Amino acid sequence: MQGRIPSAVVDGIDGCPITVEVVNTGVGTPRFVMVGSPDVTIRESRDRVRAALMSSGLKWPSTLPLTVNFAPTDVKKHGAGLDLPIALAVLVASKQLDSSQVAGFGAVGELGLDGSIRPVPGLVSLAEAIACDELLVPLQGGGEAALVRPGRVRGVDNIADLVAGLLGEGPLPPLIEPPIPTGDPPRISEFADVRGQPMARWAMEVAAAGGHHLLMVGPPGAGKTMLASRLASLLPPLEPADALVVTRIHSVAGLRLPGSGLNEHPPFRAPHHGMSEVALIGGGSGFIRPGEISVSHAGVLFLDELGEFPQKVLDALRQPLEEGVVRISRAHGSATVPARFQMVGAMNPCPCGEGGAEGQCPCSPRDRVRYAKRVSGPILDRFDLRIEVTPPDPAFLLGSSTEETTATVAKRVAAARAIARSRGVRANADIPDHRLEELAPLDDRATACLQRAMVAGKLTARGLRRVQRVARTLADLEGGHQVLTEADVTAAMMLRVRLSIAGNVTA
Amino acid sequence: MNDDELEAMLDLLHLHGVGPARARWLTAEHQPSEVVAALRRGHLPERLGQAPPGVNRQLVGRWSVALRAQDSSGALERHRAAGVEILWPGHPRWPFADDPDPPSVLFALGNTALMGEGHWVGVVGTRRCTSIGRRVSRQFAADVVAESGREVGVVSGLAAGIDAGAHEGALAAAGRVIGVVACGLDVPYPKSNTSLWNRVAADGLLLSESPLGSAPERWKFPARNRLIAALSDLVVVVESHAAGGALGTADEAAARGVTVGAVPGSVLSSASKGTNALLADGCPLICSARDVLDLVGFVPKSPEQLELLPTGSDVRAARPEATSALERRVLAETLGGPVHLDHLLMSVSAARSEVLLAVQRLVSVGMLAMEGSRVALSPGPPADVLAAAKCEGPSSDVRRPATGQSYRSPP
Repeated sequence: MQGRIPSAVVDGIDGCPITVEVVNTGVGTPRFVMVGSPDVTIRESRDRVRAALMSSGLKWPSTLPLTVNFAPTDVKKHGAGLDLPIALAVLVASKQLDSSQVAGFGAVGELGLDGSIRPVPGLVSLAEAIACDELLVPLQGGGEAALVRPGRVRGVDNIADLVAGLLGEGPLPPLIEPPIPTGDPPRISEFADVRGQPMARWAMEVAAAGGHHLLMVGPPGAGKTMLASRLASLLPPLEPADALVVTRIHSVAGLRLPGSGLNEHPPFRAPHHGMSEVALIGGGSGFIRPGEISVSHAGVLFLDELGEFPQKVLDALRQPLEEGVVRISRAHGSATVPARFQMVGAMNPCPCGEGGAEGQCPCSPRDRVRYAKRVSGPILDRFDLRIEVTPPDPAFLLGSSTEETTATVAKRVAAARAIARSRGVRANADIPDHRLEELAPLDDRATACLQRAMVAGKLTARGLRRVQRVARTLADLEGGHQVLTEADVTAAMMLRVRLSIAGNVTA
Repeated sequence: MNDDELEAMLDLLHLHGVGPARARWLTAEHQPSEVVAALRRGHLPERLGQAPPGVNRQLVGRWSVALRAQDSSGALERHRAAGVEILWPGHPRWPFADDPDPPSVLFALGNTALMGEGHWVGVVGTRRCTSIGRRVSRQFAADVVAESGREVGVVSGLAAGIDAGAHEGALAAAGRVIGVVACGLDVPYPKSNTSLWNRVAADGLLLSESPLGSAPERWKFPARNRLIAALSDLVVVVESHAAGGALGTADEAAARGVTVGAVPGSVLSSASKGTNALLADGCPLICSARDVLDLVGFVPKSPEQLELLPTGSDVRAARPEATSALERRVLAETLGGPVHLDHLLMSVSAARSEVLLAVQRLVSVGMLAMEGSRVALSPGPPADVLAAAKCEGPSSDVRRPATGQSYRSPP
């Protein structure tokens, strides 16, 4: 008698289909052998399955010579998600279930010692990969699986009820409906709270509208973190396709999904600067986990204290920034994971943090240059927007705000994004170089203005293209006039200043 | 000196362990070519004076070996190809006629005619300066140039810190600049000053007593300082640590009867320990460019004459009538020091893009400079334009905070 249950394991952020087979070889001493490249987490599952079966009133076949196989063999298997299919296949092999009773079912889930079934990371990707008529998944988190297999997913609470249902002695576990997007606004941090900093507010709006990477330099207390957290609330909700990808990544990363099960809003991630390269980029030994850059896919990655990140970690961002995906290779295989994030950096102007003001800062120019050099030129160059922020005057923080609210600005941002999409680009920051002349043409005065800046050495060729993209966004925010004016390019240059901390950085 | 003697002199200077004092000792009684010929034969020429300390048989032996290894190094040709002019004692433009410790020859890149004209102020200080020191050196250098109508030029050592600030300020005000460096004229040091180095060579004059290709060696920096002192009519020490190299420049200046002035600094700042000590020793106090000009003995010419002086930079041709009312308002806001763009946008009541355009125009005509997101008056803008801006008066806009506090950034 052979039990055979389709299941899957996570590979990168995708599911990889696995067939779990358990067979009673009929000869030899009683044993329980696992073959087919299981790793240590799967070898442990024998004990979990045995305990779960015995505590659920089922029998553990201790007298049978059983062989468990995971096909295909060349895929390295890991994770506790194969507990449930192993248990079902064992029940079939030990004739407690008939193979016809499990036909058409796939399964994935971790077993508790009491027979309860626990959720596993990556249910979205797993559910997509398993080839079966109906899929048995943990009840908790089953909504994720239902997103991709609507109406064909059953949420299982414990193995005793499941077996009773399969035997026809009770109801089958319930079918799970896919969660309905709530359309709820995210928890909004109010943009009107930012007062007395018109350039910073403007830069946020432009960053949100054009998807531009943004660097803020300023002393502690200038509101850099506050500004960055407001950026996420200015961004429009995710497109359905992006929402699913984001949900899948978050599911694999083991993050809690929002109430509806679907990530409808752009993620905002603010990892600490002590994080490792693997935690940022993704990877790991054994199996490949998505890093912070993938978790913030289609959203904002806020790197506070940019200067404190190890240079090696920052430089690892360069390839994903360029391509929007990260390719991770390990001994056991490689994975390509989406990582199209909007980078927002913040750093102090100098080691003491005060910076800028003459007479306030005891740092020597040499100290400042050394501090600035912690962030490599290529990374600084990726920022389309670079501004210096200073603490607003306290007088502006008292009393009621007269600044525009999140709703007002978000509406303008959405309109500008719609204009950009109508040109066939996702956001203006993504306009390829060869289409700049067509999509962001300059009038004579704007051309002359940029030429002057280039001759004066204030703008490099690469800086020019970045300024052009930002100017495109500025024009879109004002209704989308086709030809960029001197005012657009001037403002774009003022929003991408040469940082006074970094004497060696040219625009 | 004819070409053969210059070639021989260059060969001598290329020898390891030959500095200005030993070169002078070797060539006091002999032509350089005789010295080279004698050394190639393996001994020093006859009738040399008392040998300076440190010269011994081994060193002379090494010189002989080095000179024998090559017939002629072709150094003269290389210098001429690089546009380097070589001056020697007796040359019509030789600046060290009465100096007690002159170089044997002087290598120059740029306009050597500069040295004969007007007054020169040496602006020197520590490499490890504070941001204030850097700003002071930049500002004073620019003001000295602007207020004297380019009559007074700036000499410094092209080191990091105060020196670089002085050169930047003088160049920004289109002034006359001399940079005296310690290594070869083709070895920019420190590397971070490379572009400044090239600008000094292009718009002013670079001097060195080391031939092309000479590496920066420790002993060359104090030696370089004596040349700065010798070229200056006044040496201003902006910031110096307690035992800083700039104090060496001050000593060299004192030895030559050149006045040394010092900029006072905080008693808590290590970078002002040396300058404050100079002040305690009785050096004149330098608090502004005016103090510098008084000490140099610069007499302002009549306004008509000032008008005729070349300003060197046609971008300063902007006149009040060429600036709009909005631009004058923007200028007025910057009179009190650098302001953040946030401040400008809030205090000048005009559309955001108009204000930024005005800033951009003022930057492009050289009246304002951007430092990050801050706007500052550039060194030495035309006085009449400033006067027009002052007439605009400070901002009295409704968006001022009610407390009456200024929100000039930084607070």
